[in-house]
Amino acid sequence: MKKLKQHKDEPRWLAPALWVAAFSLPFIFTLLILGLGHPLFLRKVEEMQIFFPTTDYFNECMLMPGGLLEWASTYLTQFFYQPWLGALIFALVLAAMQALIVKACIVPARWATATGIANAMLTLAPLTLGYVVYTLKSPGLFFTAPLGIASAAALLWACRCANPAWLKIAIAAATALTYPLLGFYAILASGLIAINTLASRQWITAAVAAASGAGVPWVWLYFTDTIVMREHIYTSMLPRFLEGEGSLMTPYIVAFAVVAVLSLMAGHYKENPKRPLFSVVLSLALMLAAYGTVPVCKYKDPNFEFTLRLDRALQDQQWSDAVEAAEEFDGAPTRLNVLLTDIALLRAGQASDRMFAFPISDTPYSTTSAREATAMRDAGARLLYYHFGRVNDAYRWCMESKVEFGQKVEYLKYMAKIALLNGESALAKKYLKALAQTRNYKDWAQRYMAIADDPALLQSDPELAAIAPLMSFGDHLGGDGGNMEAYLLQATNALRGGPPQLVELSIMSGLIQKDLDEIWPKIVLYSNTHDRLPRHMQEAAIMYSVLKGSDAFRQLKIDPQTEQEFSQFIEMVQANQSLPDARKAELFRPRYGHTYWYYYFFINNLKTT
Amino acid sequence: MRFLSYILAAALVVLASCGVTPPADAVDSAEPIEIYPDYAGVTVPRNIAPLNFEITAEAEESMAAFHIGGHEEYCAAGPVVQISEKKWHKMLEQAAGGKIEVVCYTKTDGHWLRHPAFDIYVSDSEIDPYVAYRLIEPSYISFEKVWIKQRCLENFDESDIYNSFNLSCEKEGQCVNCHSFQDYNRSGNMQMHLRVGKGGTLVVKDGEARKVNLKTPSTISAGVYPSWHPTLPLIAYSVNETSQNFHSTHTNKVEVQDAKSDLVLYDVDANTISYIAADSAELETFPSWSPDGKWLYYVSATVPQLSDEEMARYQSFNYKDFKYNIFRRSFDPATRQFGPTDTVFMASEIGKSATHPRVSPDGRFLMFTLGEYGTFHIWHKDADLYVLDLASGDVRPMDELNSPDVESYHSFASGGQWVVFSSRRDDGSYTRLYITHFDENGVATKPFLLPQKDPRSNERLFRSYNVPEFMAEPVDVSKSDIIGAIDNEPAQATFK
Repeated sequence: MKKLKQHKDEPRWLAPALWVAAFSLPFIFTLLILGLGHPLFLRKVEEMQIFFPTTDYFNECMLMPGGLLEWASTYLTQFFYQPWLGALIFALVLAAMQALIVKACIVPARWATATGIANAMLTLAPLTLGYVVYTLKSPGLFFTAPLGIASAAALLWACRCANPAWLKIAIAAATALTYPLLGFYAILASGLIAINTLASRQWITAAVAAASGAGVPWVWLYFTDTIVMREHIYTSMLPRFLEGEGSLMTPYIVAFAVVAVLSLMAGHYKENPKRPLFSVVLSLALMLAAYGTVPVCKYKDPNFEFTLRLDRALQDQQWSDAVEAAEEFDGAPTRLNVLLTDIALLRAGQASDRMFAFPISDTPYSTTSAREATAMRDAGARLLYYHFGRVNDAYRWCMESKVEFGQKVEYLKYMAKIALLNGESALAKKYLKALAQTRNYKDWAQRYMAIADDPALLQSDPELAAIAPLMSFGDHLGGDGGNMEAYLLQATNALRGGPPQLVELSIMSGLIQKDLDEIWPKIVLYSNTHDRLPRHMQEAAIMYSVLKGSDAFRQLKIDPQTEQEFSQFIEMVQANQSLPDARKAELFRPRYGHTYWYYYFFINNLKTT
Repeated sequence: MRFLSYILAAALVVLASCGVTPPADAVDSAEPIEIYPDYAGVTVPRNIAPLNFEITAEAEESMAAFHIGGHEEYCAAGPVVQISEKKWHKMLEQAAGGKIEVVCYTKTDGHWLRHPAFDIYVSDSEIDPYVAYRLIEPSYISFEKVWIKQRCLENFDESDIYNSFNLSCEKEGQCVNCHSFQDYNRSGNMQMHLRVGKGGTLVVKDGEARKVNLKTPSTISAGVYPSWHPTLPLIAYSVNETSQNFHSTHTNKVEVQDAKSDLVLYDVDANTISYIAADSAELETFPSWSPDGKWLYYVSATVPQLSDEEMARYQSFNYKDFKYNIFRRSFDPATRQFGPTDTVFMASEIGKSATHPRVSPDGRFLMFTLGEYGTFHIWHKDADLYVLDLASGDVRPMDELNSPDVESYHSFASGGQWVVFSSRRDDGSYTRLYITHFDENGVATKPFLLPQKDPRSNERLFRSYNVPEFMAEPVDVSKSDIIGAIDNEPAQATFK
């Protein structure tokens, strides 16, 4: 390998310092950005994929060109379960990739820091996903590109170092044969070899690399049982995004372009440039600017962050954490976040007192139009249905999502719990055995396996024991028809009775639906079977009675102060009758924004899916 | 790469098997050995792939020894007992008409135990060497990767006939289903449906693949459930208006229902469709030719005449009232004319619903699936296999095959002595294939799970095996021919 000599004007310490900076800065930046800034996101990434240490899983991966990358990437993604550890491994993989690029492309010290641009882009790329993380069809996304680029660089390095010429040509031809292992990255390697050899006027090697890179995927498609899509044969192992999400590919394209430029330049740097420091400064500035784009260009949406917090807290049964997250959120929530907050309040025993005290809105999901209609379902169907006791619907959406988006830890966990709740022990064991093979969920699976072996233990599990009473309703045929919230609330509101927990959930649903006729008898039932009637039920009961022209609410456990507040509310309504609705809502919010009355009268036309 | 992993696995098996000898100091145990799959006492064809199994009993070490006529032939280390294919087939040849005795050993606390032996009975008869099936997750409306596969039953070779993912996904995602072969694929003629993306029906005849559109203005849908005539270029189809509804609590989880359904006959050469049965008060479906091609069996349920909206409501609230009975119509291959309807079995009279009628190759027995109601028994846990003696009219549940969970699709091997059927007995959700010996009196033996190279694959696989069909010959149409045909616009069938 040809090494560039030190420039006569350069201080002796500069080159080593540049190498240290080139590797340490990206490493530190990546580690801090991920470990400090996105622990919940990393956990979600880990949950939305799975790795099994079995031959079957390896074979399954290998059905797709690039399967070896997918296999290795999903293995490494498991470490995001401990976000700092995952971030550390990711930063190390990026550093290894960078080292291979430096070797393959003979990058001189003065341009060393520029290689960090690729690191920055590959750190940024997953952070642009947002809600896409729930539906991503590219398992191991974080690691696929770094490992793929590293492999491509290694192949370029091998080809470049090969001597004599026939060996170089042979490696150029053989590079594309790594397509079954590396997918797109084998083609990238062929491309890099073609670029590199073209720049060195090695026409035959370049032509062989280009031709084999173009041809091998077709041979693989037609003569093997590969499952790659024909239109994706050149892009297998690149992330699969939907139409309209092309911008999510930008960081990858920049990273590939950087590597391509470096391969073009390999062996063509001037030994004694006129302005060496200019290269040093420009290189460093480019790398810093690339890292600067991460906070600017990453996906930023408070509702998404809120969803991640609620989701995590609910999965960990940390109800108070979920309520705390809701208290801290000061924006206008999406419908999913409103309902998840209600669930958290219900589990914390506060729903019927506080659920209308939190912001209620229908803020659209900050995602592409292609995903907006299904964002609530993709992110929340299993959570919502499960916590409402509609476990068949939760199971259904786990299954539908598993089919469409691939196998993921989160789906299997819900499916196992639901099978236990449904009394399907054999089915639960199937899911639990699978989870028991994973790095992070062995203990979890063993805990639930005990229930599968002895269903009587179900009541000893606080989570399952809380869901079981919510399943006390009769069987009927139906389906959400794509309108999840309305179906969920209507079905729950329509229930006539059941265990106390289910009655409260049914009343909650009726309150949200403003269906006072339906919930009145259930409020009476609740009042007769509990020592105290929660605040929102009192508010609804008083309002219902007054609207009906009766004083039936007096048979219930109504706080005189609530009754008095309602009288004042009515007086205020009468005093401001002439105001437009929007103005009235503004006027009433400070005093009554936390009441059911405010929700009933002033929060209307919420859009949901 | 897959090939490499097989070589590696095979090497490991060989290494693991070398030098394995049963412990001389083993003590007899009365505890029967627990293995998965349960192959104890099953009857297998003389050309079946090795019945690899896992010794599930907890032990420090385990092994299995195979004896024929009291002589030990082979010994393999456990807990995953993977038998050399060569050795296995040699043992089958030796034991044909007799049995292989399997003795399992487990080591606990440093002491070896010898468990009571179990037998594997080896039939003199062979099974058709291939079976085709669809691999799909047991989902409801979603599909992404769906395969029609063929598996050699003599070994573990499995290959794609077609996988839907090569040509489409996302909004244009393709579902592939209902493969059917003429005369156990001896003619090489087959068909399968493609739904949504690049939709149509792929028909392979005389080695040529083409795609046709079987939906005509006169019929309610494209062809659905198929049955190739055993000798003529004719396929009987049901045409169905199908919908799905979901159970809110029942573990059956989903109801797949027909609001309308008729039977049609497709002439492959002429590309024409004509009605076989189209009574609006009847839901005729699941056509199935008798092996001699002179009868067409099918099932049908009587339904009230309702508007579309009323029918949707009726389906939701009265779904248990859909009871299918078995009928047949004679068919004259010379004139291609059907005779009048002949009642075969009135399941509704005993409050049940029958589907999937299949006649044994000797024409004597009719096997079918019986459940409490409805047409889509793969989702009905009460669904069981029944057999009707066409000579005597006797009907009986096949208790020797049935389980507390679903038994549904089934097909006879060409020789009539083997039956493959789908069952959800393993876990209640993921359909697996079981094979049984079926004798001349219509009695079956304890069924055995389709053998796999690694027996744990059955538990690890999150896909169902659907619609098992035996084949005497494998499908040998090239992938490029199939993809080429599917890529083309379909030839429109005409209604005659």
